[in-house]
Parts: sequence; structure tokens; C-alpha cells
Amino acid sequence: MNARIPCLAASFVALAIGLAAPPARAQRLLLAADVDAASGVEGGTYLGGVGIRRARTTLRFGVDGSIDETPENIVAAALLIELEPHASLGAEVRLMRNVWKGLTLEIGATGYLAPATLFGATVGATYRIPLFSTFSFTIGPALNGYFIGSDLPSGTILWQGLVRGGLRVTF
Amino acid sequence: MSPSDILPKTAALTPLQAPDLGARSPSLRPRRVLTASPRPPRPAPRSARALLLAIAAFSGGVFVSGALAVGPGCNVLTDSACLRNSDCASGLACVANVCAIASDAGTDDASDAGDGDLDGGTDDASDGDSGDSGGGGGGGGGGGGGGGTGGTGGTTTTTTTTTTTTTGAGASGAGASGAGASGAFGGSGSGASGDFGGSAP
Repeated sequence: MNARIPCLAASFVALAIGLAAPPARAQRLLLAADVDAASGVEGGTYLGGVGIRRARTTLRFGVDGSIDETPENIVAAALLIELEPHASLGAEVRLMRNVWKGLTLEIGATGYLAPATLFGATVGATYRIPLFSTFSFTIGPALNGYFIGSDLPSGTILWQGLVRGGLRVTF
Repeated sequence: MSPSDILPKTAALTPLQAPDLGARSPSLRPRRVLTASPRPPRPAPRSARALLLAIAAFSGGVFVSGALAVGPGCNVLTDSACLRNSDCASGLACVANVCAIASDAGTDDASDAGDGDLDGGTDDASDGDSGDSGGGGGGGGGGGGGGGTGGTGGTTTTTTTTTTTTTGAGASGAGASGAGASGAFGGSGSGASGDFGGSAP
């Protein structure tokens, strides 16, 4: 009998806390998709430099998501397709942070998987210009560095300075 | 008091009261007063501004990229130059911005006929000391292989003392047929062929 009293008390306390607490609100996932094209200059470093040239034109199809509690922190993934002068297929993952209105800074890992492998890192910025309620134009620079992969000549580090422009739609 | 004293006063009051009535009643207010309020100028559509800004930014980026590419001190690569292996045709690799046959030093060097292998094999076979094997190998992997087995080839008495020390790129020439170098040596009658066979690539 005495053993039941603490149990009942604990139950009442738990019930009271549950009733007094504000209703929980489920986190909501904010999703968006974007497509953009990029080009610029690229070069390699090998014993002091091997010159620069126009970078391959790249198409990027990406999705990104954030939680409504912290919409400024965004995780994005994308499919990369190099179009010309040589085609290749890759992917990238980026962490983005919205620092001011439509301005987003980003850092991530990028790489190409076919026909040869090439892996590196990317940093960049994106500015979103709203066009309609759900559409926005995106533009911004990106700097990529590739350090390893079978596509990389021995002892060479490849870098790219790109300008990207595209469209983004929020769901 | 005569009527003439009253009428002029009334007539004098009437014009003064009319504006007051008009100001208090909207129906009596002149229409142009209601519509004359200045309206703020309508801003340009947001999408149009965005498009203009985007075009300007993209143009700026292209301009900067172009300026970098043709600026002084920049080694602008020609279309035929390469930066990545995938810029080259299949079977070729990008070496110093030029597509060339991929050089895998270890394999090709090992089999180069007439260079280090020859010496290495001879020395190994004749002296029997494994130390010679390194010299023969020189720059090529083939020499190294020969050396490994040369130690047991000491039974021969060949006294060839050729010490050609072919190294580096010279050993990786096109004559890298491998079997010719070590295999031939193995069969050179020095008696070390069995061991040598093990060293063949």
C-alpha cells in the first residue's frame, strides 16, 4: 500500500507537467530545388603553374533542405554534369548558411565519378533574387579545388573559379 | 429699426458662410480637390529589377574571368593543351599539359631490352652476389627483378663485368618488351636461368 503512493504521486506529477506544457509543434522540412549553369576559368598547379584556360561548362541540378526552426542553415546536394568540351558526371554536397536576406555562403565537397574520378572542395556564395512567390534567380561565384583522383595528372592540383547562375524553386 | 438697416447686414454675412459649409460637407467640395492628392511613383517591377541585376552580375563575372584569362603573366593554354587526363584520348595521359602515352615506370623499365636488364642479369649471374642486382636494375624495375634472383646464380663463372648503369627515363624506352631482357639472360647459359626465371617480370 505504501509503495503505491509514490507511484501515484509520480503519475500525477507527470500528468500535470504534460498538461501544463505547451503543445509540441512538429519541425517542418523546407525543401527547394535549383538548376544552374556555371563556367569560368580553371588552372593547374604543377611546379609553379601550368596555365589557365576556360573551365568546362557545368550544369548543376540540386536540392536543398532546412528545418523551419533554423532556416538559415541549409544542407544541399547536387548532380553535376560537365557538358563541354568534355563530358563527365559528378556530385557534390554543400553546407550553406544564409547570412543576409538572400545571400548564402557555402562550403562543401565536390567530385566527378565518370569517366574518371576527381575529388576536391568547394566554397562559394549565392545571392537569391526573388522573381515570383516561389521562384528566385540565383547567381554567385564558386571556387573549387581538386586534389585527388584519376583524372588529375600526377602532382597537379586543379582549381576552378566559376560564376554560376540559375533558378531556384521552393516547395 | 428699419428694414434697410437689416438687409445689408444679411447680405454681407452670406458670402462669408458659404465656404464653411463647403468645407464641412464632402458633397459640396469641388471634385478636383479630392483627386488632386499626389500619388507616389510606382516602383519598377521586382522581377525586372532582378533580371537586370542578374544580367549585370553575370556579365561582370564573365568580364572578370576573361580579364584574368588574357591578363599579363597568365599562361593561357591552347585548345590542344590538357589539364586533366580526361582531356586526352583514351590510353593517353596529361603530362605537362601534353597528352602522352601513360608511363608506368616500374613495368616498362623492367622490360627494357638492352639496357639495365642486360647488365643486371649478367652481373648477377656471374658474380652471384645479390648486391649486383641493384646496379643492374638502375632506373628500371626490370633490373631489380633480376637482382633478386641473381644471388643464387652464383654458380656460373661468367665474368662479364659490364656495369652499364642505365637509369631513369632511358630505361623506360619503347623497347620495353620485358621478356627479352630477363628471359634472354636466363637462357644465356650462365647456369642461372632457373633463378632468373623467377625474376622475369
